[in-house]
Amino acid sequence: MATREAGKKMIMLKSPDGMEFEVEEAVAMESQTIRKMIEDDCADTAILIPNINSKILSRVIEYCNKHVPTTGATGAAASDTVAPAALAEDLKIWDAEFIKVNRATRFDLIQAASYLNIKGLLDLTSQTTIDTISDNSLEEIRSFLSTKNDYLPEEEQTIRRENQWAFQ
Amino acid sequence: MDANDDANGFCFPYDVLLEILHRLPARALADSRRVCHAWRTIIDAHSLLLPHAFPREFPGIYTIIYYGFTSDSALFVRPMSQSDEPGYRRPFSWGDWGMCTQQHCNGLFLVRDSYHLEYANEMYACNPTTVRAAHLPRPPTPWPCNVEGMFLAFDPAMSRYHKVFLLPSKKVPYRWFTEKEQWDLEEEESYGFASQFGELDGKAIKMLPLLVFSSQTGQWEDKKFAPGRCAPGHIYDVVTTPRGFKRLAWSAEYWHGSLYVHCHSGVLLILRCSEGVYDMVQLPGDLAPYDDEEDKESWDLPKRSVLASYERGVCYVTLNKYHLMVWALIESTDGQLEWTLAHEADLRPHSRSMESLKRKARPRMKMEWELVETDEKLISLSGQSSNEEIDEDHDTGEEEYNEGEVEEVERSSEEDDKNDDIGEESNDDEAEELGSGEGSVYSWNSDEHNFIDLDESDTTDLEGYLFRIIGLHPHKDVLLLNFCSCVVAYHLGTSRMQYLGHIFPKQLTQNAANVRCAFPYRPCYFDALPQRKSQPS
Repeated sequence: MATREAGKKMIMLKSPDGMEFEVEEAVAMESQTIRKMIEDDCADTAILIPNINSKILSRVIEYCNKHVPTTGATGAAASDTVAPAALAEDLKIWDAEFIKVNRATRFDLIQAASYLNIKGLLDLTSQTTIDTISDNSLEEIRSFLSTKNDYLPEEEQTIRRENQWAFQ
Repeated sequence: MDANDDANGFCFPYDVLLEILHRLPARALADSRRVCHAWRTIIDAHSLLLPHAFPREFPGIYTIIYYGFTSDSALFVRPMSQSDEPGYRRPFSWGDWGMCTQQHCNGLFLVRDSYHLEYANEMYACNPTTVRAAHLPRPPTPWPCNVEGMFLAFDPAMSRYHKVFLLPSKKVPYRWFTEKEQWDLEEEESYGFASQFGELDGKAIKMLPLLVFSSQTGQWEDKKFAPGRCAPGHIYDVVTTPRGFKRLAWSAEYWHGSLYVHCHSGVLLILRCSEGVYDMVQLPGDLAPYDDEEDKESWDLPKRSVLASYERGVCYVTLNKYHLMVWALIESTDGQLEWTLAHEADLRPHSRSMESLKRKARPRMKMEWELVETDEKLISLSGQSSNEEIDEDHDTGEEEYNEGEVEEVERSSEEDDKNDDIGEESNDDEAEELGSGEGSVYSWNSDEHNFIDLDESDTTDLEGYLFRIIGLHPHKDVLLLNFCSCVVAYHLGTSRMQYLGHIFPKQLTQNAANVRCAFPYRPCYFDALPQRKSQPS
């Protein structure tokens, strides 16, 4: 794996509530959105991340720090010290811990992951939602997602019939 | 949440919601349409359910029973509970709208109005499950007032829209040929049957002109199909040579985007719809025994048929008296078409067993399928929970089916653990099929019931009843056959036959009755047909 020895480039990320985060370029580039900005040379000074508050942004950076390829995160010469399998296992455990957040935070994380286009984080955060939708009753889903039932009873009945027929 | 109506359901940005919905398994996705209007709109707008349209439930065999003076459609189904739960009931009736089913394709039917004289010969595409229908405009060329040469193409996994292909046949319309025995070219021209096939004769490329209706545009279009990699000129000439005045019993199967048309003279024509090319191949085997079928009226089920099952592909089945042959169509990567004999059997022992079965009073068996006639009432076609009950109650302890002449009814003893070697051995392949056909576990619970025992030493004369072809089971290696008034399932893997039930109505109003049409029906919930409000006009 290629290593980048000296002079790691740092990027400044700003949240709309005024906080600034200095992160390594490699970490920031976990986000495809930021990567594109950097590649387009739009990142001379600080990058303002709209819609993502400092609390969520710090968590996103935490995630990226952990998931950035090891050489980038720990500096040089770490490439042959950790077995890939053990590393993957370690990451999985870390992810599981990371996602133990309340519902509002998780939804914010999904939004952030979507805006910043961080695939791994989007997979991780949306999987819980997918599981919830798959495993729970309609009422539970609605309350989980703070969604109102705007169907008339007859309408809902019609769709219910269709489903029973089509997907047994 | 204080969301207003517009924002209801959007707790995520649109893209995120779409992403999440996209990742849901089929069942959860279908249920998600019930969460709120916004979700249903997104799911439908992006056709997220389409990839899950197959595999689908197989509740039974759609039949049209001919009563001597009239015919009526009905569904021949496996036994079901008497659940009154409204959610388990499906409308499968057209009420006062007398419809004659002409073609079917993946749950969609092409029907002719046979009830209203003023609309006689008007065609409709309809879906009995969604109770939606659309009028099919008349093609821009005169046509013989039936569906000869007309084929429906619909695949809900690819598109909600359907197409209708019309292969113009060179003959005068049906009602005009009473006095004519010979072609009159002038008249032919005057009715618009310009020699569509002949005009390119002599040229290097033999194009196949077709009329194609797309429900997306609502228009008929002229299309010319070019020869594909397997389109021998001499077969083209056979197919496009004008035929006599009689109706031809053409049939077609639409499979993986291609239309497989069983033409006259033993030719299979394959229309590759997206590429706009056609292939042709001669059907295998000896065609002579089926000469009488070439011009048959469609009063009877076929003795030979090109069949397709969604999961398995295209094959050709022939029944020459008791001789059953099943050919599989092999399409090699270089575009060549070949038939391989996949199964061959002598059905005489099966016939003897069936005849002896018939001589008894109507046999009573466990899990007998029955005919559910369509009337004003709704009929129950599916019951999730009840099916599971049937499964548990009846699928146990059937290890002795080899011994009686037919598996008898009263064997309700709970012998769960005694699924001994006989049972396992002969059900291995079916078990596999069940495993591979997702969502189909409950679609046919009678897998181990009613097997017919064969007595090879029995050489009594046969009475002459013959098997006729209904179709392929959608996801098993099983051929569904009609024998007199019964329906049987013939397992191609084991050559064993299973009695499904008596296909005639319980109360016959006329002596004359015949199964005029029958095919495995798989309902489809996806179509782009307009909701039917009342009778067509």
